[in-house]
Amino acid sequence: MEYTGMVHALEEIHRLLKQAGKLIDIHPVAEPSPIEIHLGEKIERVGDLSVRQWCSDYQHADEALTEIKQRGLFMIEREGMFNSLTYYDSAAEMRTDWKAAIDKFARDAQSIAESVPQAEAMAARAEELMQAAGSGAELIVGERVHISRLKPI
Amino acid sequence: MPYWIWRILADSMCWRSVAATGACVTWLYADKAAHVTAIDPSAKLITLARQELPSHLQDHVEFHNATFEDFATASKPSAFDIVILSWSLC
Repeated sequence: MEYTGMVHALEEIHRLLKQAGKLIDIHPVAEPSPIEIHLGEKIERVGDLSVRQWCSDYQHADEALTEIKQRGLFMIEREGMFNSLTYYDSAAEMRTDWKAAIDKFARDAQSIAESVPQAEAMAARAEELMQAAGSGAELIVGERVHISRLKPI
Repeated sequence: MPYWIWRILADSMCWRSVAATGACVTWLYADKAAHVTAIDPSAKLITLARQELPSHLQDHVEFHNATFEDFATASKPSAFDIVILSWSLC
């Protein structure tokens, strides 16, 4: 979503909410996602996935929330962070998931040109490490997520 | 997810109306509200959400395959107690 679209969506939410209503926003923070392979106690680091378009969108989400607070539409009552983990059965499954997400969210050719080779390389490395780890290994992609509760003013 | 968000969900039996994006996680909070309007532009995720929604919650949730902008344009003001944006503001 473009920055102006985010601000417009928040304005619309302000209109749709009752006076005593609440908005709960959950979105990832703009930082690379660590990829790991877990087998029992052993943890093998595959690398970090960083898609420029995603990080840019997450940054814009933070800025849009800041703008609507500054304009006096909402105030934050509470906020926090947590880790969101996505488990994949195989590197192939992860590659398919990323490809769909990159195709969907990358809005300019430069972003795709940067992101697809990086995601492919990361998936290939994950595949090698998964095969070496043997059966029972879990492929996990982490995301740091920001959650906030806001009330309309 | 932090403890306080679960406290909100657990303490919110009085919710009458909730609008939520990210329909595939609707089942997490659908039983805490009298009615949930779940919105997602992906038909695939709406189908998945319908499949994963427990049968006792079927009457609680109304799914809309639409963008939030289109949904909001067609909605009346001051209609919802809670709005949940789940991975949607990006």
